[in-house]
Amino acid sequence: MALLDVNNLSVRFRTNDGMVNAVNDISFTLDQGHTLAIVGESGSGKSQTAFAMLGLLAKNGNATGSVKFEGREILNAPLDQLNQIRSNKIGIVFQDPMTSLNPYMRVSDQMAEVLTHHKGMSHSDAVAESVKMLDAVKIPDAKGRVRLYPHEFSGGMRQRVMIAMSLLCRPKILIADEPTTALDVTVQAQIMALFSDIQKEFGTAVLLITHDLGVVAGFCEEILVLYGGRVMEQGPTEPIFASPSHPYTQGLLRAIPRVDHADEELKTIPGSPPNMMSPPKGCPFQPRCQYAIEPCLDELQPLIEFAPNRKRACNRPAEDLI
Amino acid sequence: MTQPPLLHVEDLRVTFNIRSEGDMPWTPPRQLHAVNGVSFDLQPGETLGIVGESGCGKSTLARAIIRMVQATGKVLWMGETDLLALSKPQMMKYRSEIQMVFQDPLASLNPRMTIGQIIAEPLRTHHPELSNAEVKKRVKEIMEKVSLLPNQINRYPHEFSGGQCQRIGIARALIVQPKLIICDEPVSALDVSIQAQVINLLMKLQKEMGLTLIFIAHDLSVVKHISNRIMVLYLGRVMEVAVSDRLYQHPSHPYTKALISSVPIPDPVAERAKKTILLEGDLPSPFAPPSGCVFRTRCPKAQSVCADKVPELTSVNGVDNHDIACHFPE
Repeated sequence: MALLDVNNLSVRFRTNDGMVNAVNDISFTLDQGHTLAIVGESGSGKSQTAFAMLGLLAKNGNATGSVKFEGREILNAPLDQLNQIRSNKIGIVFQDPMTSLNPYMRVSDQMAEVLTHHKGMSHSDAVAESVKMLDAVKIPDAKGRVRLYPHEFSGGMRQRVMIAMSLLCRPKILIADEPTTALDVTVQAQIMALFSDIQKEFGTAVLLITHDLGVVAGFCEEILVLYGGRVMEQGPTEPIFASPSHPYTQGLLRAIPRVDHADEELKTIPGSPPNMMSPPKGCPFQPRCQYAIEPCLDELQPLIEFAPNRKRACNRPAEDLI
Repeated sequence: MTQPPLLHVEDLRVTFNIRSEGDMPWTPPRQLHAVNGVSFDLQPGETLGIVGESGCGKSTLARAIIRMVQATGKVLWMGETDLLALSKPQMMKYRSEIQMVFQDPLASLNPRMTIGQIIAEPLRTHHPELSNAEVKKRVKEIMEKVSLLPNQINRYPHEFSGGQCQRIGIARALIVQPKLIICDEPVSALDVSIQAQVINLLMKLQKEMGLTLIFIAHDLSVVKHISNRIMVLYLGRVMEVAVSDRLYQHPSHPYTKALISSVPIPDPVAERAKKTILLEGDLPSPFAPPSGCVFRTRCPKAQSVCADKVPELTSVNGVDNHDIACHFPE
């Protein structure tokens, strides 16, 4: 049994201008100790997928489908049941550590809160445990700095505090929502190395949400490529990078300049991502796709397994893509 | 006779006086040296990339050149005029020669102006003699050049996507036919698929119009792609300058090495085979930069001489166009 089993997850938002289908029919599984990446551009629905699982959607949002954690349904579960899972079993690290830490609370207090709430520890034990965890994420002088406020840390250190906090209860799954986007490359390298260590040391499964294919390449075993709220391609990392089977994945990989290659002209994907208020009919990528054929315009190709473990949603056979 | 460089920057320094909250009125402000003695030449038609972590002074350097912030030193334009010595009205003339493209495409456009007005504004400022019809004609021409539809001229910035807004920003910079464009993180706010469009557009325009570019970014792969030469900054000082291929193939400075090895490569095989040099700790506080070499606190090769002596920017093993500021170059 998979640790996390997501089936046909859809997220809809009711807005003044009508319904927005942010996420449509996403299914995936995550096993213990594994790493999965959800890759997509802004507006592709990658963050909402994670938020929906933990019941963190905005008030006008509604999630349907099924999310099973250790065999138990947690999607739209009552709050007290969710609260036992949040942070305790599934930890989450947000993109911007400055806005996700409470600026009015000392780091010691906000970290200890997690343990007093979930584990019923005393405050002083909880702080001691927090210091241990700050040590584990390599914050120098953790004991002295635990009493500081978030603004007294640098961006990279703040993200380490976030990670330490999310690990306090030794969750089985860590969801990292663009954990390094706000950071410099050298700090990004430090944080990603930290994630690898944590994953090995605690056996935590990691769900990484990102737009950076470089980070994914180094860290994740499996990838889910989202576009316009739908899965375009899904499968193990190496074959997807070696031979992307979807025009969008292919376009994305060709559009990134690389430091290790000689300069060649970047192949661009024309146009811009869809407006989710009025998504195109048929395949969401169809208006920008150079391989689009007639059926793409009004018919949505379901996600089909075309090779072991690899799925794609495209009307054209994979061999047609050059 | 050789052509003088388009821009000759010598010992440029920008110092901010910072008063912290709670300081007494008589407490002297603390000094922050955002740019600390930067010198470089910029040849006509070339692209100089400036990279470094946040807080290294790359944006301040750009702003100092066009005098958006006060600076000392020398900025020679075409070998004759020192831009820093000019009065405000005198500087006006040069502002149409040097234009800037900013990071946040939407925030750098006035939401209450139509994009036609936005693009025309520099033209109306610098060439008030032009008739309305002429201005409109030129705006439409430049819009076509950056692949905006001329019939969108009466729309407002919020009706455009991020990538299109950046095209508007580029059109606004180009309309006065500048010689030099300073791009301050022009693509970092854009999605990957849009990023490539804007980079290709900038490179195409540069070729067509013979522009010189200063390209500031923290994304090293983007900088490498677009630049002829790259300058690496750390805490307001130049660490290394080299032709871009050389910099990526033979980085000499320990900081450049760490920086380049930190860039994730979108290829699982190459990325996992790569050896990443992890730097210890964070950028030191710019209020109290380390003595001697500013990088020494995080440098794997640092020795006692690094704390005593500031390394000079000198050529590496006599290679042309490859300068480095390090006591122990490789």
